[in-house]
Amino acid sequence: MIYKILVAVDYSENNTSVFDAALSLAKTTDATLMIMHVLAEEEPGYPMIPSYTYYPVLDNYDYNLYKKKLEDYKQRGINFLQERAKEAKAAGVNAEFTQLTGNPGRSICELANTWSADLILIGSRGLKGLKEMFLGSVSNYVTHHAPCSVLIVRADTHPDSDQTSSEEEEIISKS
Amino acid sequence: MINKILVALDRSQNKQSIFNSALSLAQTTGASLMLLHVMSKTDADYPILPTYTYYPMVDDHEYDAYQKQMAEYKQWGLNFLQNLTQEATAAGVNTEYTQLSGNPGRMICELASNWSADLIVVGSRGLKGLKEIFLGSVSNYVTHHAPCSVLIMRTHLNSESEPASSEAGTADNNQQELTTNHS
Repeated sequence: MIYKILVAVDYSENNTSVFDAALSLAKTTDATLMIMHVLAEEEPGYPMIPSYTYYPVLDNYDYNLYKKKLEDYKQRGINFLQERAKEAKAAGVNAEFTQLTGNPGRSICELANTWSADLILIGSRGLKGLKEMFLGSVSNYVTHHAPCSVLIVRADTHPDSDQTSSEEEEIISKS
Repeated sequence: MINKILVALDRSQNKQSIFNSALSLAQTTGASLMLLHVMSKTDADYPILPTYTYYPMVDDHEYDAYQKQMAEYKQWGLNFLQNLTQEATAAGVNTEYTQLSGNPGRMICELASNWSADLIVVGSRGLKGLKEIFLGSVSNYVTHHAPCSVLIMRTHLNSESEPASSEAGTADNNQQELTTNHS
């Protein structure tokens, strides 16, 4: 049986279906939901320290700018997670959230271990072949290193998923 | 959300726990189940045509023995699937079964797209590193080639499996109670 579901979310568009799937699964199985987001340097939008020269010169202004951007970025992640957690609570699911930094695959497996999750829900970027080799597949890492069962959500059936998501919204608004 | 669940089963020890969790998932989500067993040559029990010489000579007796073994092997798979189907139907889940032969990973993905499954449930043999490279990971093939979502069941170590399975049993009972309450 599934009591604790760890769902890893990011900002990508088809990731909403991962969260929707996690929510409906948690609702039907009465499981606790842990929503996690990993701040990874590979993610687009992650702030970089600006350096204009060949030498790593860093003035105060640039550094402050970087710090501010990073702070904003973290805050954006937390807001995103809070929204999701609220949505889950509105649907009557017990939800927590965590934001971590580091390698996404490793952080997901670590949290699954420490929180003793029964199931990890994760999206697939659908990278194939060379792209997967160079960019790295988070879902592949997780399936090979996870301490528990892993559900890889692939959002291919668009017409179906639209219908179900609207149905879910109705359910949420009713409750 | 999940309407059709494809469960791929093999002859390993943890097949029962995979089936149980797929069943409880189908019960809670109201999905229909498809049980699949793939007869593959990599299976440990798959009959081998006996040849004792360097030349591929097959006499009648050996060929008959092989055919008999093959039929038994097929029948075992069918009985196994029928039993589980009955169990699932008794639990109130709409269930079908299929037995195919060929490469397990490929057959699972093919059936998933033909039957338009929403979720594939596979077990993990837990092979790591070199063993995985040489023996081949079915779950890895499926996660990379599946047309739909994939649930990889990882059963715990043998020492932990007993209490977990008894828990699963009680949970199943609870669910059956729940379903009866609903109806």
